[in-house]
Amino acid sequence: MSERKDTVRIAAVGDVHLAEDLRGRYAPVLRRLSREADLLLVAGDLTQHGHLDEARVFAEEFAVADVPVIAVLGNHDHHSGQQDEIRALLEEHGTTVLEGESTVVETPAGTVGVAGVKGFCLGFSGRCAANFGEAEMKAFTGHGIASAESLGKAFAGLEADVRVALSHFSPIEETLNGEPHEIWAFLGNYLLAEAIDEAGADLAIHGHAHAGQEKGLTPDGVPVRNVAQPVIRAAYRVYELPTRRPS
Amino acid sequence: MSSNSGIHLINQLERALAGDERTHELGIRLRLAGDRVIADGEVASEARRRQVIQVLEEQETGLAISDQLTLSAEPVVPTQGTEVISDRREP
Repeated sequence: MSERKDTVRIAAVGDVHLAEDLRGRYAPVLRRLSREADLLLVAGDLTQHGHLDEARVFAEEFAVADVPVIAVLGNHDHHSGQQDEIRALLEEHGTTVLEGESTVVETPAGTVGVAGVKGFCLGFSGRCAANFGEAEMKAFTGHGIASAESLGKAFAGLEADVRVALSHFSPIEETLNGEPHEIWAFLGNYLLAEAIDEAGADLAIHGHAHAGQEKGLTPDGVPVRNVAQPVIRAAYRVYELPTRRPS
Repeated sequence: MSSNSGIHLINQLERALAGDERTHELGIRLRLAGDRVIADGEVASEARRRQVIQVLEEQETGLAISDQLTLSAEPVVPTQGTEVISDRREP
């Protein structure tokens, strides 16, 4: 644990896939999180099937965290078509949910701005879906393109000492290493990395790739961390970043 | 059973696991070994392990299901400490 006040401490986890059978797993370790972190980011797939009763388990487990909790939803949270109700339930319990939006958290070391979006499939350079052909194909690629534009808009005007991108889908290939190459286009979207680089973010957090690796970099060198719970094999990871203050 | 029908069978079982409301498991690997279907991968609880095996058995393939699933790590306080990220680009 750091005693320094010139760094922010960001805890993060994704893909907790909670439901009634997992109740009680997170609350005990989140109760005193402020000893280790200033805020907690959750990178989507909070639930297993996108059911409201599963979201209630998440909301109640994570409500005990003694730091601000900021989340994006994942594809599992959309499965039952109740994503709006899930968002409302989470917000009632104190979790901030971002979708093409940003928020700023005050910490003893400065402000942390988080721009969040679920993201979507698309793929990566040379191996991605093209916005061409059948209406169904264009709907698929169009959602991937729109999700990255949404992240860019979330960063616009976001001023903070540290700026973080939070998504469910991966912005880069490197953190997908370990997953079958054939499904990478369904796990990430290179346009998310373009938005992150364009914004000059300090850190990008994502989940979704359970068999991927934790660490990578965007093309412009922004650190990316895949915090899917099966990857980090813990309740969360903590990343410490020095705050940039005007001299 | 021919190799082609084996592939179709595995595809059918994968669709069942992904689409069944009780599982929606996308990360379970299935393969044929003799007269058995081997299921391996990670699930988050014993209840989810039972559901996966049940959904596979309900497909009535006539093959035994070999459960090689493992349980995910408990979400404990991380033991490897904080990572300091100090190599950020300057704007």
